[in-house]
Amino acid sequence: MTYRLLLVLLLLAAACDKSTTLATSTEAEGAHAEHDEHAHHAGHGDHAEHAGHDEHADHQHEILAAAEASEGSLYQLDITLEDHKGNEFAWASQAGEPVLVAIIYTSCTTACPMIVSEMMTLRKNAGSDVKTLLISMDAKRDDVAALAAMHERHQLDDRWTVARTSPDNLRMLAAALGVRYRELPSGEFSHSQVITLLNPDGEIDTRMEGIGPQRHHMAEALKAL
Amino acid sequence: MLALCVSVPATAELVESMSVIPAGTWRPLYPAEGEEEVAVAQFRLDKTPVTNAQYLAFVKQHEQWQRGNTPRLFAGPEYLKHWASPTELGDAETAHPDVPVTHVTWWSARAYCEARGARLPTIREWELAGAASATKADASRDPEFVAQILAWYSQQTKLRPVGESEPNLWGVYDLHGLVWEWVDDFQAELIVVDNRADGTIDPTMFCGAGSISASRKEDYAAFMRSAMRSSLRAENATSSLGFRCAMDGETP
Repeated sequence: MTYRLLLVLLLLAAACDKSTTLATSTEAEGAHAEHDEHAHHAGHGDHAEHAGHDEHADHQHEILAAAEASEGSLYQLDITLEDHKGNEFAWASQAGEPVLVAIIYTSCTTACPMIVSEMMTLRKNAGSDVKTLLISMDAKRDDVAALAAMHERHQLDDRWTVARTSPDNLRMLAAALGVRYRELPSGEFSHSQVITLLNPDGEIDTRMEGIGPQRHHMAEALKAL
Repeated sequence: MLALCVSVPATAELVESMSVIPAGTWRPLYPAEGEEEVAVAQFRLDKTPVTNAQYLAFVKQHEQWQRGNTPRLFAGPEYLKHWASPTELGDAETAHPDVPVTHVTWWSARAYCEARGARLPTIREWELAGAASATKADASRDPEFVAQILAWYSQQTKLRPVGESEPNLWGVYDLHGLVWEWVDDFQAELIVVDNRADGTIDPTMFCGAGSISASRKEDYAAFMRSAMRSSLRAENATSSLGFRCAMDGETP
């Protein structure tokens, strides 16, 4: 039975001709100069969308202009989040500097604390003060108070943000980051452990799945910042 | 979501193209604790997968989803590669107007559904609909039904026009036997394919789940669907993966 299952799975894997996975290196996007106007519209629709951004609109437009040049940028997702201080911010407003990001939930007692501590260790060992973002997958229970409590509990500084967003936005962020998650009847979540480093353009620079074996690549990536 | 020029929902079109799937209970293959029986609310589901012709009409109306125009984040080099051009199907068998559209990503499938005022079905919705045979609401434990589906999974399938098979009890066609289909929460599928004999999930990779193992080992078809969904990334597009749309409740 074991072999049959294995064979079936191997056949399945072979039959699924997958497209290329997300880039794990900062390839220079030579296509920037020739970037089609249409691609810009794909992520932002009509320009009325920009009206929803916060008061740093001018600065943001500069940043967005840089981010828009990249077809792989996650900042093409027009999403708003709320941070642990209750302030709304645009996902794309992070463009301009690298961001270390993970999806967690505050009442998680097992892997999430491991993720946070892993991020701390990575930063410390690399001597990196990279901007770091934790996004909750528990839209229902993780309100601003819960986010703030988590920030406090781990004694995080201002370079760390704990944030929340709508379930649909979270679905899109998880899709872009390749994070799997599932809410269980108990209110707990089953989820994969992924830590991602976004480059200043919002593309995935380095991605770490699981804690341990891939630590080296992420450590190197942070050191290189 | 991506800001699209959302079309005004064509109510009559949606009513005609969708079947009502009554509320029911789905028994996941890999239930976590408390998930052995999942309640699924009544919903509407496209009777057939989205076809090449339908998808072509969509990209003609929404240029940003034409092959070549869509940013790599949302669609890679596999996207609609079977079409002769970004706005022409061409003569390839896989590009026949009435066969299910394939080589579409999760992002593009969602955009298509949203443009109609609809959405992708969730795993539980799809599985509830897929449990029905031609005569029975829940045939998921009938050995014959399960074997029939598995027979398809074991062979290389040729694409054929939608709606030619026998519809299930709800008047829905081609849930089995044609293409794999995107679901909105495919990321909720958490099977880790490793070399363990019993198919349990590696608990060090995931948190919160404890030990999850298959509820019925004989349902290989369900296992393969779970494995398929577990293997997908949102930007993937393959020759055997299409989709159909769904809506809440009964009235569009």
